[in-house]
Amino acid sequence: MTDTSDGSFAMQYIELHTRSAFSFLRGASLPEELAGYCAELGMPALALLDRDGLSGAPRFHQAAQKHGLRAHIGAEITLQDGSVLPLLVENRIGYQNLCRLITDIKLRSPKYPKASDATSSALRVPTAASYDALAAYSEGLVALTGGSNGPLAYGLEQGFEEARETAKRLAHIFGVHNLYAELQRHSRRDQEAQNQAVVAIAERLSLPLLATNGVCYAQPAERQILDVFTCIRNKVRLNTAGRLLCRNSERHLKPAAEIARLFTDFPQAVSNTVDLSSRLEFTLADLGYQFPDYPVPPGEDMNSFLRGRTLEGARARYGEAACDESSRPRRQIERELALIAHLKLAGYFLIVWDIVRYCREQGILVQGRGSAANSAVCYSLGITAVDPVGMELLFERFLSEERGEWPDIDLDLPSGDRRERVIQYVYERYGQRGAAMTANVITYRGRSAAREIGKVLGFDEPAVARLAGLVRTWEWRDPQDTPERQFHEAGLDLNDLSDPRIRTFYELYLAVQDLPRHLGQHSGGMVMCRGRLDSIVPLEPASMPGRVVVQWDKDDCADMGLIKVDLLGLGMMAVLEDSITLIRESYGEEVNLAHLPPDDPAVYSALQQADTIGLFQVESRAQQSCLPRLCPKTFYDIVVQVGIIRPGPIVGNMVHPYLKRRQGKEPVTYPHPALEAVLRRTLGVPLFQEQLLRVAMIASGFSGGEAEELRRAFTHKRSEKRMREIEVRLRRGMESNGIAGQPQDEIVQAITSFAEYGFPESHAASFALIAYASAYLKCHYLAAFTAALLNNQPMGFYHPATIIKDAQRHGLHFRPVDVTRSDWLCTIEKDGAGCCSVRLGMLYIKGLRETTARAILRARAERPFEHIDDLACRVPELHKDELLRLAEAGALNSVGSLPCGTLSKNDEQILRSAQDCRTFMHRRKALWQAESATRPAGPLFEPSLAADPDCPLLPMNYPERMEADLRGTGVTLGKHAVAMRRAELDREGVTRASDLRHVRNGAFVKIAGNVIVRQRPGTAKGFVFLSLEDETGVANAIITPGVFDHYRVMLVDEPFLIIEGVLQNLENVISVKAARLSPLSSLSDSNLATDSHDFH
Amino acid sequence: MFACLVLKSGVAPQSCDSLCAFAVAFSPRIEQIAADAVLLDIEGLEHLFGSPHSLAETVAVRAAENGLPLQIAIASTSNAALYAARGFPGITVIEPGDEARTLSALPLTLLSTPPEMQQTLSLWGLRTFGDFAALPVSGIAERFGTEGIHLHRAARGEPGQALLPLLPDPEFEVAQELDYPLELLEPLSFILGSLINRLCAGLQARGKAVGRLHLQLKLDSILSTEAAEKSYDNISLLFERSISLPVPLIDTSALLKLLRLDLEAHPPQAPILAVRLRAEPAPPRVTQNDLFQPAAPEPARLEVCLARITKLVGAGNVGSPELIDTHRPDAVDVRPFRIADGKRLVRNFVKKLFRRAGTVATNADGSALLACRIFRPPVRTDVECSAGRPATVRIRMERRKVVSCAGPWLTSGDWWTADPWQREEWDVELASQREAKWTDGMPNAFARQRFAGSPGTLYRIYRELQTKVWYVDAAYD
Repeated sequence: MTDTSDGSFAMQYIELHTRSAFSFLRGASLPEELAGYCAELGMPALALLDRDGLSGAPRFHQAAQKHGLRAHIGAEITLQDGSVLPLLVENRIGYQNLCRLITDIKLRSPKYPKASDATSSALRVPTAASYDALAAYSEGLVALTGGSNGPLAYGLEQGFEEARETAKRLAHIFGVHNLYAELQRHSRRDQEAQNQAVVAIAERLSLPLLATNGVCYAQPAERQILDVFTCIRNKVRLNTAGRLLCRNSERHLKPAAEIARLFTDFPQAVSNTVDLSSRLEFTLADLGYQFPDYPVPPGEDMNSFLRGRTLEGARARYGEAACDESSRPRRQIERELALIAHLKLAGYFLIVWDIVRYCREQGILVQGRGSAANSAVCYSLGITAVDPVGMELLFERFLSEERGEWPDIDLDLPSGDRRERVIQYVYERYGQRGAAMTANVITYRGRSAAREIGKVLGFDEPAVARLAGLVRTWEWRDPQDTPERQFHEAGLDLNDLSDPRIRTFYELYLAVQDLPRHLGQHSGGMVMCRGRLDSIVPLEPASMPGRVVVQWDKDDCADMGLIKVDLLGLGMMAVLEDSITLIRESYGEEVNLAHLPPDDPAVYSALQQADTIGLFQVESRAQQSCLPRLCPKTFYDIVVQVGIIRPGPIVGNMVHPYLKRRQGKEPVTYPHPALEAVLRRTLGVPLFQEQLLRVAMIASGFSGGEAEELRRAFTHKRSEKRMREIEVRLRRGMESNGIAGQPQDEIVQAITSFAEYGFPESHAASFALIAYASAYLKCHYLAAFTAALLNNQPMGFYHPATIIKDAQRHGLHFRPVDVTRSDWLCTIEKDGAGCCSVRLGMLYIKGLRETTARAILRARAERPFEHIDDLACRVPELHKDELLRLAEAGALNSVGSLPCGTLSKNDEQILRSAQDCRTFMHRRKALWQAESATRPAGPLFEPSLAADPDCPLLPMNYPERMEADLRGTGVTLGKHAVAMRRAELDREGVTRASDLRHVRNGAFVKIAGNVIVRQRPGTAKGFVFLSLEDETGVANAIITPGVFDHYRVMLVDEPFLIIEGVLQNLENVISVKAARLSPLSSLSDSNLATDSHDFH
Repeated sequence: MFACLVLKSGVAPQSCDSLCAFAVAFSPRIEQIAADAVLLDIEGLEHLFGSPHSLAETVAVRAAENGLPLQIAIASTSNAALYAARGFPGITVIEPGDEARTLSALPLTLLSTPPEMQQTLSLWGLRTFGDFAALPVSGIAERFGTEGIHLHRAARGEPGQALLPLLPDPEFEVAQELDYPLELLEPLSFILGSLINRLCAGLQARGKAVGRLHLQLKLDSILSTEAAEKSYDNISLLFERSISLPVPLIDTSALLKLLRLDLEAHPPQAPILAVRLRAEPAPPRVTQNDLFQPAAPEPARLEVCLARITKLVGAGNVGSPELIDTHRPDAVDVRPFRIADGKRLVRNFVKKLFRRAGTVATNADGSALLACRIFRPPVRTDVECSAGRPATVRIRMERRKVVSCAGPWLTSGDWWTADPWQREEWDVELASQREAKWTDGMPNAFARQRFAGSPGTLYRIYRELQTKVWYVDAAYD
């Protein structure tokens, strides 16, 4: 009881049974909202009990800390009879038990149970705990008897005695003092009978009573969201959901006075909430997480072992400079090692080093990126490839004493199987319950949210499609694009009183934004733990076999102090690795990426001409338009190029000043002379996060750690209050250093607007290395690089068809898919003159399964296919549609024409080089035979199967072949579609893409081609950028918002366009400012277009 | 020889309906091979219309007169006639032996191939009938089986399947003109009985039963005085009724009773001059009774019984009650009566209704404690509240004090519709009160008696929160 202002006594109440939206479709409010509203109600504590999980606990804990609440942790555990048992954590042992209990039940059940599983065990809930499991993990936990879906309520359905037995059983498991008889009152008549029974049972068993409200949402209005979620969960519509929906809106957070009024007859039930709350001593601050130790040889500790490995590596990296204790690298390494030892992080570095070592042993390419590239220790250990000393990178960006945070090391690995091998290595090394992937909370956003809500509200399929279409995926948002206008354009009236569902849809769509829908798997974050990770956070099976995920997402893990190593799949790493293998096999050369010539002229020439299709990070349209102006000449220029086309420099208006200064059109100046050292390399324009941190350190006297704190204060979780505090400190520091007035304002403005979006220099440097390597391989080993690029699609900015056309323009020959020659992947073939060409692999045949292709390869290895019937007979895995796809794409043309495998390798090569002399069947003949081969002949006729030598069908003509290529493989090796219409386009005065460079700036031109990229970036104020490809190259067009509005449908739908407008040729950056658009009608109706990459 | 008439594309659907009627004027043997195409066997018609050319021209002229835009083809095979009519505009007459050559130019999309085969032929680069026809039949048979052979023959204009002549559906309609206008139902029944007998005999001969019965009465223009007084304008000279039957019937007496009941409920407003009865035929009902289950009532008798009840209580009030799955109290729907589960349905309904309405309060151990009587419809009342709780309730025109109350029990729903609802229920114990005479509000004597209650009675009251109106919902025993 507390004394109120009017002198009466008010009863205190603490809500101890609350579900958040992290119960996934069983709760409607985020933990932050619940904590915030709880604080508004003046409640000192709140307990979050999400269903079978603790996914919302970290956010709840953080929010509670912010509001000065005590955050009690617990969970509702589904039992095997279908009832739900609420459990509250009393102490750390209880928390560990709860985590293990949830892990046990989650890992026992498949992620996505088969339908047959559900029917076979209708009575058993798939993800459910048994009473035995409860008994095993009961220590440190307090159980409640639950509300209308609690075990007592389920027991009461069978009768009073059954319920009493259930309560006795629970009391036996948890102890009489750890089991509370829960009373809930939601203004439901039927609940009263249940409450009377619960009270009767509690009296007989001497159980304490506990009032809760079984909260599912913070405020009454959110009941509607819960109803919608209920429908989504049960796959029904609101109209047909019936009594699955809430009876009323009473499951919200209620003030103590209202609860006291509801329970006037059981005041002890209310006062017990305060007593129980005081018993619950555990919070997530007391997690007990420890990073695993790295096993070191006898006589060494982790620090000494790390020092040894670092110095070994440093000698390899820096040479003898590393031995000289006064040298810069050595001093930096010593400084870092001292800090690492002080922060007790040696184990972490050794574990990452161990992963990198495993990759090297397995021949898996690996490179650290992110802030780790600021560390000389990481560089020496081989974790990163950028020399932070040489590049003067800021170590504090990676690690600082002040921050008290774990460092974050991201490892880029080749995507696919190789990354999976590394992940499995980590599991093996630390045990299935010692390591896990971080989760990714999938939230309601965009079209999927619109679709689900539309369906639940009962709109028919076309209406749902229209509503979902209203959710614009384009990054740029027109300020005039009000919801009213959007709905009106879609033929729907937001204010239509006769159909309130449209308005309801809109309101609900907004309300569910960012609410969690389900738990996914993060792309590569792994957490590890000393001992059992399932004592720290519950684990779940991932949808991918052999993987386990924690229930917290990446940020939550970081907030809770769990150390994460990101094992990220990077397509380009796979391309580099595959290229090296192909070069070794085909060119007989060994390429070492660590020892590439640093100043290769071919690389810089390609970059200066923006000839970058397929290259890492510098291939986008925006990068291409910047490259001729930036004109990279050194490696650091590539670092700048990678870092400059980012939201930070663009939004902060840093790009143009930098380019102008680089071209000598603007003098290089500095906000203050003291900052020259920091900004000299970027010509006085801050481009990287590290520079801003250094600016803060120099101008305001911040320490490295304080500067990093500044950066974090401005990240996406920014707090106005914290930002203001830091700004005050910044200004105060600058004033004490004599920087005032306009320079001070400029610096503050730069820091505050840039800190969030700025790109780290270390990150840019890591990416620049890969970009350089990709450019080097493309310039010198085009066949290998292109084959590897095609084998790792989809990735990058362009469609494979564009990559092939680009490579062809660079003189590379391609050979089509051929079941007698092709592997699953693209390979390199050499002709008699030693020229390399790329043989397309069978992975490009649409609809052909890899298992089938592998079966073809196995059968081919035994002996060549004599005819198509022979192929069909010997590869039973081959389905009819797959055989027809192969025939249509021309992959069967040479079946029976070449006695593969029967000749020596030399003879085979000679024959291959002279293949034009051989007799091939044409595609229609292959189709004719394939159609017959796939019809079952019956046992009587099978022995007599043989190729029908005669085919009555005519061969395909060129356009037909091209169409068949695009339909069957998505790419064509012949002429470009536009080339077939060149004569017609010449008559119309259309300029080729390659000829645009010869047209003077300001001339009115016409360009035509296949639209390969459509972009509408958020930073471009509604401008649309289009790339048109013809047979000579790619031409770029700029569409103003006005022109876009006028030609909206054509721009979105037409695969081939003619664009007329003024040519802009500024500093070798060529584009056409579109004035008029028209479809290229002779091609628009054909099927000769390749897909475009849209709306990046 | 065959002629094929095909409507030009884009023609209105009603023209499709009249195509058969038009074709039958030329040949008794016709087959409707598609909604827009009719095939005619014209063997022997040269005696009537002359050469095939003359016949085709005659057909074209008459079609134009009838507003039917047609493409006409005549050939020695049905396939050739069909595809020529589909593919060539105007009139096409193919000489025997010239079928394949004539059809060869037609696009292959006209051939009725399954989509998968169409795709294959397209991949083969085949564009016309001629391309397809040129392929070796053995190769086609090997790849597409018999279906391919049929289509290959069709593409060459070779004979297809024999014509399946369209036979007109017999009309089940009887009519009788009366010598003098009938005003009474009794004499009309005799005439209806005789007509129904004739109708059912015709149906029975073809193994059919009555699926739906249409009655048309021609009325005298001289109105009865009573009708004239009501409204002259509203009375048509034709009086029509339709009776839908739950199962097809052939029982003449039952049909007559149903007709009589219907006419009693909806009498014509003038004397009758003529009677016309038309039956929509349906396959007769075939049932196999369960060996161990009592036989259900005859459908005919049941239907008569239901018709009698409907006559008494009004349409829409007869059927099986079904609870709607919602929290809304008393949400009930009436569905058509189903004989199979009638008894169980009612029993379950009552049980569910009682459970849902909370008419039986239970002890903690589940034993019954109280029962209550629900007023249907609920009785509107006035309630005065104090501190948000009912303080007085007006019962039998007298305001009675609430001694104690429990609640509120809140329910709400349909928030996404234009008609959301919210309801607040209370259980109230009213102070003792002398028996008072009921004066208003109660619907009937039964309810009045029940509602009177005894001193200190418990009531259930509720308020619709949208309208703020209070009702008495039930009294606890």
